[in-house]
Amino acid sequence: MPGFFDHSEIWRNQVLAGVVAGAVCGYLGIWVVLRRVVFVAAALGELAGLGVVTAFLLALSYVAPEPVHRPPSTGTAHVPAGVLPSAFVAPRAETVDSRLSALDPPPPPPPPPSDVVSDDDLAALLDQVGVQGAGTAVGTEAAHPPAAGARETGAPEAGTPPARMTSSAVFGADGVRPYVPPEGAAERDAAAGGGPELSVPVWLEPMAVAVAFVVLGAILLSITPRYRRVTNESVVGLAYLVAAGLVILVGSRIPQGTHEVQHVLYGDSVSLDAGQLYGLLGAAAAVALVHLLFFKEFLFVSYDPETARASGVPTRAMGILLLVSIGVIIASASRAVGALPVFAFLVLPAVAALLCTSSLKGALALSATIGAAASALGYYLAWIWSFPAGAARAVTAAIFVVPALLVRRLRGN
Amino acid sequence: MDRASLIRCRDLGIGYGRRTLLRGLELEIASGDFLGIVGPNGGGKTTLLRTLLGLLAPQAGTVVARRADGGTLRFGYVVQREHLDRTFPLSALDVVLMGRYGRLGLLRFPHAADRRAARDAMDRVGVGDLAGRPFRDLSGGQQQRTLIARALAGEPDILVLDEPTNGMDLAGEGAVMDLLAEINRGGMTVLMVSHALSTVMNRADRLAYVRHDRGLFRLGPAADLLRPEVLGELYDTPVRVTRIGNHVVALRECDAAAPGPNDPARADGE
Repeated sequence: MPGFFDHSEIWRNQVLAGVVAGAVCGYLGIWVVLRRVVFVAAALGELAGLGVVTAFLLALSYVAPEPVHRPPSTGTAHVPAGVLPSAFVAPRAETVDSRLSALDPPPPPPPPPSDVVSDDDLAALLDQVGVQGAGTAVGTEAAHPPAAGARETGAPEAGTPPARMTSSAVFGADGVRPYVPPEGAAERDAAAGGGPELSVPVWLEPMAVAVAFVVLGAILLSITPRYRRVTNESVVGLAYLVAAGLVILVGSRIPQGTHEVQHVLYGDSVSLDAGQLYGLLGAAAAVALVHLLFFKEFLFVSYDPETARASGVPTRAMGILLLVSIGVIIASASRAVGALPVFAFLVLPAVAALLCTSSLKGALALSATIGAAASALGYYLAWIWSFPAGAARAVTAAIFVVPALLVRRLRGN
Repeated sequence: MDRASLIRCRDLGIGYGRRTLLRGLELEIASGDFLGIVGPNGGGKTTLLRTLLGLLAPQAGTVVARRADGGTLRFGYVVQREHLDRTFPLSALDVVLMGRYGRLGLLRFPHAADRRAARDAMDRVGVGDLAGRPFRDLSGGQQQRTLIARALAGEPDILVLDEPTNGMDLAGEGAVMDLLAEINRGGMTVLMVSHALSTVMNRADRLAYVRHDRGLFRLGPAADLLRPEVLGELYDTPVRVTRIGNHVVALRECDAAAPGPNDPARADGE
């Protein structure tokens, strides 16, 4: 385990967020699986992604008066240097290599601001304003491969630009060190016109927009009328496809958004800033409170909505509230750990738990435990084997289904 | 003795969406009644039931459901058990406890008294020893009794059952109907829907025939409606009504006349 426990300051927030997301999604997954709304959860995940990219696009429009275009064929972007506030980008951008890059010799003087920059220039520019490693996901290929031996030693060889190393070569290697802000970064932020003083409204914070999108989607999907000629799954599929398509379309209009969107969708970021962790904890606490207060109604309307309604339970309101609670967690957890692991935690731990137990409360507790364990273990395996964290967490959650199947087989069907 | 009216329908129109199935229905259910709603499959029985329960809005007219003291009528609804999802990992007691949820209301948690009421209801219908068993592992008859216990656990004013004997064997069907008759004798009002006339006609005091494609709705004492001409109109085939002891049996005229598979005459013919 090269360097894992020596550098808890890097992964502490990310692992904690992952454990919380895994536990809460594991708990909610029981409702998702039992209510047969797995596709709805997938659609809400896409809506969360759409909310994030929309927030980025709106933020760019907000801080950059001129329209932003990105012709796909050129790979360049019209974006004023340092236009995106670092607070908007940094949480996703702090990867292990970015932290390492901060410890290397000071970067060369910043180039003169330009209206047209390539992705590489943009990343370098963001490095200079304190947003190092923007768009560098763990396990993704960077422009310059690592020098031979870098993976083994964990130390970049001379002449290899650390910030442009293949992330997987760095992730998990010895010598991972904590992030230290570059000397004079704040001053350069100010000089570049970006950084903390360029603020965007709170309502444009990606998590807030994602939550808004998901809540709206959850309400719309809950009140969608039933059509005789169209199955409900088709309506959900429509929502999923529209959201997925719009994520790509809107993402294509965000100059430095590609990697950011990838982070959100696949959960590849190594670390997490405290603000997002607190956001997730707040959302988890709110959802826990809602479920504590309305558990019996959620159970009744999920199991037997007709009798619940005949008994005076407000089934439609409870159905919407349950779906909104799932959506809020999808949005906040996706922003923190990525949509792929969140979707995995919403399905796989519940499947494993339902195979193992015949008690609802037992299944809820077991599913939450599996989700938390899969998240922590998946992250750890990603670290030691240099895998993308999001995919590692999803696959680890899937692995838990195997012993559950064995348990089911041993007990008989 | 004049019994209190629990449900009163005046000029009622029932249907789904823009589709009206029946209109002009007049129906009254009094405390202590055992009313069976019968008719062919797709005849509109469940639509009528759901309208009485308030799950569907009347398309015309009014449905007044009130207790004798003017309070809101509390239904103990027994849904068709095929509608319940077998993947839910619930014990029989978990299912019965749901019967208390409507009574508890929002933001209130079940307490020991609610669990006690649920267990009492299970004992009453003879499934008290199954409380800890997974509901999905119970037999059809045990599941039906558990669902009746759930309805009773809410201390309803009226027990409403939708096809409670569907998919059950002869013994199970008879046991459930005996149970309902016993519950009715205890003073509980029972409203039951069934497509199987023979299941209902010897237990219910009154019958309602429903067949929307003929615009047919007949309501009256069971003895008045169990006549060949009425049943023939309802089922669109000649019907013979006969008696075995105290029980009425209805058969299609052609079935009554034809030799059965074990008839010696038929065997000789082969």
